[in-house]
Parts: sequence; C-alpha cells; structure tokens
Amino acid sequence: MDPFLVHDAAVVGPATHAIVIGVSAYPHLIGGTGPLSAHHEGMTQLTSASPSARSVASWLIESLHDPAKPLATVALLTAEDERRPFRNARTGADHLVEPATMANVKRALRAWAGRGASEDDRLIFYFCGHGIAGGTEVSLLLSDYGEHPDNPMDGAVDFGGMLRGLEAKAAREQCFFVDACRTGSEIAVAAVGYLGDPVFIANARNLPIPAPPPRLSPVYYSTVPGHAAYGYPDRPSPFAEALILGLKGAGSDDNDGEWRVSTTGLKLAIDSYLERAFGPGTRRAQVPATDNLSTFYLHSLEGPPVVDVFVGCRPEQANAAADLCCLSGGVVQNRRGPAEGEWKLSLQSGQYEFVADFAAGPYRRATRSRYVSPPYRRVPLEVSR
Amino acid sequence: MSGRLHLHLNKYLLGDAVERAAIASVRAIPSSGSIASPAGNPLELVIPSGSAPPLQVDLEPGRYLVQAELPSGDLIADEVDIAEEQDSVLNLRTGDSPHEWLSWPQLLGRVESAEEYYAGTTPPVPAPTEVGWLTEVDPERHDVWEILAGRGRSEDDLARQVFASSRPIEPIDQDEVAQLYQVVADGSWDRAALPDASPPHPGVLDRRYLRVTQGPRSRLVCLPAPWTSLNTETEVPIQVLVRAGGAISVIIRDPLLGAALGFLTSGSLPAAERLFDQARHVLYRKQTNPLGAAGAGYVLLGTEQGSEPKEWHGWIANMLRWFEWIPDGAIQHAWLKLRHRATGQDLDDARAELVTAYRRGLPFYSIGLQWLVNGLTFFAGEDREVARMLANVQQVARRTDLRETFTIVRMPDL
Repeated sequence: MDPFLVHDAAVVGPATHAIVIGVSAYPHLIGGTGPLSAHHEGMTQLTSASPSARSVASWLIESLHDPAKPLATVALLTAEDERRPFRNARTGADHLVEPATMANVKRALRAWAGRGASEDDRLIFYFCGHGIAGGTEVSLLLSDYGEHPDNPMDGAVDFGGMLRGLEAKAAREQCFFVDACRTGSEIAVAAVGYLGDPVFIANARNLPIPAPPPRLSPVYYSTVPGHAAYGYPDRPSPFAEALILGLKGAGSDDNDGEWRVSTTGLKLAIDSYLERAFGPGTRRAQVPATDNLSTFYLHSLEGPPVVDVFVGCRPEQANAAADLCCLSGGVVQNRRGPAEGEWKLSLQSGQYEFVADFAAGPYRRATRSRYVSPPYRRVPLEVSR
Repeated sequence: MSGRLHLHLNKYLLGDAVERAAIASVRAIPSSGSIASPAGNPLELVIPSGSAPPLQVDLEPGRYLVQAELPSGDLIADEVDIAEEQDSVLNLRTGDSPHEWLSWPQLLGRVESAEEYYAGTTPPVPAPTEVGWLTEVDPERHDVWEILAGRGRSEDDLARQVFASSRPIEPIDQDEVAQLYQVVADGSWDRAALPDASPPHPGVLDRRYLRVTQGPRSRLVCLPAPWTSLNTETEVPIQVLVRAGGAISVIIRDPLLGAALGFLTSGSLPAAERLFDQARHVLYRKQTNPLGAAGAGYVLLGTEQGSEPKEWHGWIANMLRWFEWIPDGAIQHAWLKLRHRATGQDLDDARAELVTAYRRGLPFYSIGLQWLVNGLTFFAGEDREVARMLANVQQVARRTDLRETFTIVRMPDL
C-alpha cells in the first residue's frame, strides 16, 4: 500500500488519480521549529496551505464524479505543526498524513504519475504552499526548504521542469493547480536556472515513439508571474475556495444536456470568484492565471448547480431602505431586510423573481425576473424615487 | 416563425468597426412567470463592437439569456425577449473606459475600467519616459539572445550600438498614469519616425523594435509589424501603452483579430480559437497577414486534440519555410514534429527547427518564448549547443513579461 494514499478505490478502465500537497509548516523559515535558513527571504509559516490541501482532497474524494474516468486514488501530503489524521469521507477511515518533505513528495509524485498508466487516465495535481519564481518558472517549496545551507533548493520542486517531464507519462489529461506565490526570488536568480528537483526529467529520448495523442495539460495558477498569492488564517485559501466552488458547479454548463464542469468553465469560475473575493471596484489583489488551457470535462453534477447571486439596488444607497425578496414560481425563497451593500444568496440554477420593497419612501418598488446560471449572477434592481 | 435578435457589445472603440469582439452564448430560458425548463443547446456566437453593425440572429420566440466573455476576462450577462416577426436589440454593456483613447486597452484588459482606474489609490510617480525606434537590431549580425541575456560584456561596443541608438517618438495621448503611442496610423507607416531599412535583406522584412526607457530601466518591445487587415489588406494601427507603474502593452487595432489577441494574453486559448475565426482561416491567409497567422498557429497547436493529421499542419510548415523573419513559425513546427513524432528523425528535425528558431531571434509572441524554453529543454541534456541556447533563452524569459501577448524584454545594463 502506498503510504501517501488517503483514498484508493478499485476502478476498471480509465481513472482519475490525484495528488494533493499542502505545506503550512516550514521549520527553516521565520517562526519555524528548526535552524533558520539564511535563504528565508522573509518567508514565514503559513496557516492556509494545509487546510486548503485537506479541503481539496476531501472534496475530490467525496464529490468528484466523472463516469468516464472515476476517481481511483488520492495521495495527500501535508506539513503542519503536528501530524493530524485525515478522515476519508467515503470510507470513514482515518489516515495518518505523511509529511510533505522532498523525499516523500518525490516518491509520491512518481507513484502518482505511474498510476496514470494508460492514455485515457487523468492526473490531477494540487499544491498549496510557498512558491518562488525565477522569471516564468516557479519553484514549489516543501517543508525541508532551507535545511541544507549549501543548497536550500534541495527542498524545492522545479514545477516547470516537472510539467515538461510529465510529457513522457502515459496519461494524456493532466490538470495542475498551483496555489502559491510567483514573486521573484534572489535565491532563484542566484541559482542560475536551478529551481529545484523537477522529479521527472524532460528528455526527447525518453518520449515514446510513435507519439501518443497530444497531452492536454491546463495549469491554473492562483496568481500571475511576479505576484503574491494570499491565504486566510486557518482556513482554505481564496484560490482553494474558488477551485472547490468552481468544481461544485460555478464552472459548469449543461450545453450537452447534463450539468458538467469543464476546464474552461472552471477557469471562468475561478477568475470571477477571485475577482469578487478581493472586492468589486478596487484594484485586484490577486489575479489568477492559466497556461495550456484546453477543453475537457472534469466533473458531472447530479443536478442543476447552486449559483452565487448578488442582488442590489441602483442607486446603492437604496439598499439601506430596501426589503429584498427572491421568489420562484410565486413562492418566496429568501428575504433580506434593509442593510448596507449587496445581498448575496446561493440559488439553484433556474428562473427567479427579485423584488425590492420599501416600507417608507423615498424609493418605489422594483422587480426583476432573472435566470440564474453559472458562474454567478448579478441582479441590479433599478429603483426610482 | 421566428424573431430577430440584434446583438452588439456597446463600446466606443475610436470609431473602429470591430467585427469580432467577444464570445457570447445565447440560450433559451423560461419566460417571466414560468418555471419550465429551458430546452435546446445554447448558441455560441462571436459578437461585434465599436461601430460595427450588430450581429443578427434569427431565434424562436421566447426569452433568452445572453452571456458574453470579453477578452479582458470579464463576464457580462443580460436577458432579452424575442417576439414573433419582430426585431429585438440587445446592447451588452461593459465597464466604461477611463478615456476614449484607452478604449482598446480596456476592452483587452490592459487597463481597468474607469471605476477602478480612479479608485482613489495614489498613482505611481511617473518616471521620465522615452520611447524610440531601435535602428540597429539585426539578428544576422548579432546573437540578440546573448546580449539580452546580459552575457554581452559591458564594454562591448557592438551591444551598445545595438541598443543605444533610437529615434524618439511622441505619445498620441497621455494622462498622469499612462501614455499611448501609435506607431502605425491611418494604414500607413509614419516614415518620418521610422529608421531606414538597414541593412537590406533581399526578400526579408526588417523587424521593428521599440525601446521604452523609464528612469533607469529600458525595455525592448518586439513590434508585430506590419500587421495587415484581412478585410482591407492595409496595415492597421499598433498601439503601445506605457503605464507609469512600468507595465507596457502592445495593442493591435485589428477589427478581426485584435480582440482574439486579448484572449491569447489571458491564457484562454479555446476562447481565442473561436474568435480567431476558427484560426484555420487566418493561417490559410498567412500571405496577407503572416504575423496574424503566427498567432493562429499557437492557438491551433495549443488547443489541438487527437493524433490524426490536420490540414493546417502543412500551413505551419509553410510558416517555417516562407517567413524567415518570424521565428514563431520554426518554434511551432518544432512542436508539431515533437508532438506528432513517428520516428527518431522527427525528434532530430524538431531539434534542428528549435535551433533555427533561436537563430532567427526573439519570437514575436511571448508564448513562443515559453514554448522555445520547453522545446529546447528536451534536447539540452545531451547537446552542448542546445544547452547554451537554452541558458540564454531562459535568461531572456526571466526578463520577459509573459502576461503580454507580444515579446517585451527588460534590457540588461549595457
């Protein structure tokens, strides 16, 4: 049994294999339990990375559903202040999560890529933790980053190198989620191109001949090159939340008759969620980025998705006097009394009526019918005096 | 019987008739007061903006949800009722531009909407900015990669010569945070500001570069010129936006392809493919607009599925052979060989074409720089020449703003 697996289901035929890594504890960075690395570059302990990884792994196990490539395995590695078990929501079994050290991650990555043994298999990769960048290339820092004074990058994965090296692996659908900073780093620059261990070497002579079908390998970054990614204290990061919301349905469409989440729909959902997470009308603090985006379906929903809806009066100051109401088929679904700001509610995709009522002037009643569908819906209610 | 929808993205774009501005899906939804499930698959449409006439679509009577994805990444949605034998108009509204002269950059997401532009944050203090044509860059005479990688010696007169001489040009508009330059206007070169075509290369077009200097920092901008409209077969204006904070963007005011380039920037190749007029059409007309064809090549390769040969594979080969001044063709053909390798010879050919691409100079498209790094990596382990090239390209890639469609490189100190 692979010690890194927290989920292992028998699947006959093409399958999905995921690896999820979350590094919150860095012993050799500021606030860590070990000797401080001279190459800490101001990086501290993280509070969001491990909760992000755990929530992504949980969601995949509990909910990911693709009849064409059912979920077979999930490997999980974390670095936390203390090791805590992970409960598999499907089996109820507790698993001791292995630490996200370089040695462990290397073993786990190779086993993961090996499980995607057929062209029809799918690989999913998620990382949350510190990242540093040298130009466009990003290093993913593992818990033992900085342990070796002679080469702190011993504890880092060269993500770009890994991505290139995985071209030689059988699975033709490979999906990557990188929830980490991509800010420039002195150590990355000083390393002159060495950004850690790529784990898989890209070499033309390793490529199978004749070539298999083109690899589809979208990469979702939580932020654009040169910029930071952010986390919340002790809860999943904005990017992890956006990813899960996208998979739950914000990234779905029913273009072919059933609700499914595609890679392109997921990008729209993540982009729009992160834009809202950092507040409308302000300069965005975190802009996600995508590379190699190509379209395939990742997940099938059991029914219509639940969609975030934002209802508000125009002019905005009318919200403070408005009784807002949402109806479906003439039946009241939700209400909100007078309050500042927009009213956020979650509704199943479908047709709704939205009403702004005013017990006292100066505004008049306004109504609007709106069809709610992914990724989100904004419902402005124009009110007049 | 059906009604007719007139669909348009409501945005002033300097009077340009932008035929292909955004992607919209149109789907039937229950009429007001009904909870019946919608039927039928949504229509996927490319919608116009600016002064282009609205797109006309015949639809069955009923209510429709229209969702549009803009090149900036923004999503807008609205609903419209279609009545039997009647015309309905839907003008989708997007955020206002801070100025009319920033309308194209705002459509493409290179400038925020007016609301965000004036969000109250203190604008960065603008550094003195100078923009000029470079007059001496010639990949035949210099290894531009070596120089841009900072490996040229500071006392190297050649390097100084390459990057030191430029002819300044003036912005066409500016405010306290942005300057806009337009290097091709009204379909003709501004000959007064252009350097002489030197040295002469029979049959090979000279490439055009701008140098943008802000304070101590200089950047090299690979201009995608000439950019020829597939409609009129005349050159379209190229705008260069320089922000006080340092960002530089190149915007092509092409009514057919300008918006598609925005999707390329936002990493949304599938959307770019739809807006590129199924891309194949653009690649087919590479003689008219070879630089547009190079963009289409990235889109087609980047979204390709399945192993079977495609008609456009041959057109990528022609890009390699016919347009030596466009390194992107060699990069794309190398990837085609790598991806569809049938024998070891295909790998050898891919290596040779990557080396050719390197020798042809900086790719016009920044995505090409990333593909060149990725391609060379596969051969660098056992080939010293390729390893040297890879080191240079990686170093240049570190100096390149890969969020931009076209290659813009921070220059080393010379």
